[in-house]
Amino acid sequence: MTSLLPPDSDGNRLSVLAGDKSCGEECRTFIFRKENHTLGNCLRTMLLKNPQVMFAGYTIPHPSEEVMHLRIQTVEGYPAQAALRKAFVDLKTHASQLKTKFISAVDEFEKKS
Amino acid sequence: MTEFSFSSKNKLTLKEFEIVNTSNYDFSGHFADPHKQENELKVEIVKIEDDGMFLEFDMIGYDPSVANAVRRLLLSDVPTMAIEKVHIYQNTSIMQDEVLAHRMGLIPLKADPRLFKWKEEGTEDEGTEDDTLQFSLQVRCKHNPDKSSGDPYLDNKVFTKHLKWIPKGSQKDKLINPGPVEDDILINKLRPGHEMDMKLFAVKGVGRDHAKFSPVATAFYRLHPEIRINRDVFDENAIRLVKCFTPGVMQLEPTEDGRKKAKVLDARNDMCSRNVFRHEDLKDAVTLEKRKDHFIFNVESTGAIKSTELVPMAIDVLLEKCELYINEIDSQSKE
Repeated sequence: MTSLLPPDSDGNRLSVLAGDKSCGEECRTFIFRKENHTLGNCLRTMLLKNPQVMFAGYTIPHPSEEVMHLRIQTVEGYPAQAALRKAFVDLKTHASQLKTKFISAVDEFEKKS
Repeated sequence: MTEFSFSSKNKLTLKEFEIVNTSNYDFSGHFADPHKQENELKVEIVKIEDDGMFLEFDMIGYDPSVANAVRRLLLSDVPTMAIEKVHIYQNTSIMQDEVLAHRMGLIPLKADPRLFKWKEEGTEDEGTEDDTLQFSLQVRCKHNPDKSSGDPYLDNKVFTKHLKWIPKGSQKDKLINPGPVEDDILINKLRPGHEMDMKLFAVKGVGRDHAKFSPVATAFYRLHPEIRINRDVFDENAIRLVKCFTPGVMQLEPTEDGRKKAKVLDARNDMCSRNVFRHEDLKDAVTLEKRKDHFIFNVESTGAIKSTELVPMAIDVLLEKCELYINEIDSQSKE
């Protein structure tokens, strides 16, 4: 089965904004290419559910460019990248559960009719 | 039966001039373990019609960001096949070449995009059997020699049924009729002497690039409305109150002393017109609210893939994206 995502030839989709080095590992602004509110808002929600994340927000700097910035600030000792990875893992779990629930709901509906 | 309302934190209120309590993050205890609440999240199918092409389902307990993500993915990230390149050999009709080519792109095709590969940029239009579907459209309009029938012309209206599929390689064994979803979509009108001869090449794409690639006619959601009666309304006023809402939402029920009382039957179908605020005396009788975590989705497919398959595909796209970024994070942290 071929991938549902279109092929992207330009290498990395995720990079980090070169920012203030004064806060260390705990604050980062991640730059996502070719992403928008679809992923941004979901990630932000998952990040805010993490009690070790102090600040999480996303922005789309200009609507003409398909770029999304995600700012994460965490507590001492917890790297921002770990928070981001956990948010992705949580989102993946959440979405798979949603998919399973949907498919079983469809099966139930078809059995009834 | 009176409906016991839940605590107000998960409902927004529709007032006469404003909507209040719309934010999802204002209440305490928002930090919740994403895995604990699993039994509170529900998905229920309400309606499947039109051979699976129309779907109405409910997502209960989910965060609006996830519901919106599903909606946005359905519109712009689930792939479809659509005509992309049009080679026009002959077009003596009134419609300009570019307008005609644009119309050809908008024709929904039945081909399943999952059976095709993505076409690489920069390769020739003809493509391979794995990534391109070829069609041909050849129509010539003539005078009708049969003077008795009502139609003076032959083939003066060009419909999608005139599109012929030209199978490439082993496509004829793998695909069954990947042509247009409907046969009676009008493409062009001709008069005697006009001729159209073109080759059409369909490829896989996403709605993000061009709306022709969107697999849904549309996909939208609304919040589940709720109507609470604050004080009982009888007879004349009750009739006026019932008329304020969409038919079937409220009804009159007889009371013990022979009067008629207004009662909420099912707030689900209410279109939230807030019509009740036009009546000064009935304004305070009801409170209009919407449940912030109950999304009523409507997904209508264009015909290529069933709506019941489109929603899992949309979630699959999200899962693939997560997978992609987790791998990128892991590979970047190894450096």
